[in-house]
Amino acid sequence: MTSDTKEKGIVILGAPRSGTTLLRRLLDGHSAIACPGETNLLTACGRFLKSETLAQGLTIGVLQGLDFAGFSQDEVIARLRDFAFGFFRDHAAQTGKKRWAEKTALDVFYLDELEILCRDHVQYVCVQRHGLDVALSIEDLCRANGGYLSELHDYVRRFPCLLEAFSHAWVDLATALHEFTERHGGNTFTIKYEDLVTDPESNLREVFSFLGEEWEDGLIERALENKENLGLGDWKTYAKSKVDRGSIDRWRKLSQADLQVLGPIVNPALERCGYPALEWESDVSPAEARRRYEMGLLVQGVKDESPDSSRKEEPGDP
Amino acid sequence: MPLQKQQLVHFLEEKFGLDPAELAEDTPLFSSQMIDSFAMVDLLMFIEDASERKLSPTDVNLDNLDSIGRILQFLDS
Repeated sequence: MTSDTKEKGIVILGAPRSGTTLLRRLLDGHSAIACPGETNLLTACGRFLKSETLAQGLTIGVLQGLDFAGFSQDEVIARLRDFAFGFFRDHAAQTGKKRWAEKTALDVFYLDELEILCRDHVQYVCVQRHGLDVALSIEDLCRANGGYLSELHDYVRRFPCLLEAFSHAWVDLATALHEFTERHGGNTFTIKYEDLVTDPESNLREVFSFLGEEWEDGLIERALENKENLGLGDWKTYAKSKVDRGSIDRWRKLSQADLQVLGPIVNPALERCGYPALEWESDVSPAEARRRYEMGLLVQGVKDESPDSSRKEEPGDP
Repeated sequence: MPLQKQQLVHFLEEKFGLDPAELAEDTPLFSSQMIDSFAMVDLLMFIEDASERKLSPTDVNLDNLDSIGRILQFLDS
């Protein structure tokens, strides 16, 4: 553990619904690390720094605008960094901890901007999760919220099938994150959600080793029993007092017809991220697709017979 | 050849990861939420394929299809 490492903040990156909130709670359980609920600070910085290039090649954005006014881009970024990091440092100080960590699910949509803001002033812990489990979970979130996050609007507009839209979103985010980790090498650590929930202690030990922090016995239990550190973020994790594998491989329940559509979208990114490519039995014939549709309608009738009325509004009904 | 119990159990285990030890003949599958509606569609497709019998709309109900025992009894009728 070096003094240089100890002074650095920690940024958790991952597609929404990849287990980043679970990791946030676990990091916050360490006596040296303060990781609050989603502050949205870095996402806001990403939006602040977002620019667009016109057809003529002129780039329009705050960095370019202030540059005309005599403020160098380095100065603007340094000021913004001090502004954002200052809140994180103050929060860590308020909680009596040495280091700050930050996790907001939308940060990953602004990797290019956060890269120039954070550079190597922080350590990055990146979370990857199976793309179709991410897509299914985002679909659940959107149904629960009754709408879509603005960062997903473009995907929903382009792809009317929600799972297809969110699969494309995952591909873009996972690929960008993978390339980000390749650029930043030793300053990043990537963990798979599936590994984290299957063997939390072994995997967390590796995370803390990367961060230059000692492992603390009882950390997992302490972190998940802490109900006071509430904040914005994935609400599901607050219902959990232990790490479990219940959300792994939800995608296996998808039909062959779904896999036939989604497989070609996600397979290259799955393999790049270390997951096996999806396989499907064969092309689904129009006759089979029609029969599946008919069966889906008949199953709706069966649900009406079910004594548990909650079944009638099951997310993702076929 | 009629659909065998072992085929059904194997399908439920392989397709949905259900534990055969927890699958008694009278274990409710759908009404207990052991399988969801996506899985139910897969199960119906499997039943049709394996039994070479096309289900009619009136066949698809909990009495006929909510447990391994009911499925086998229904197909045997």
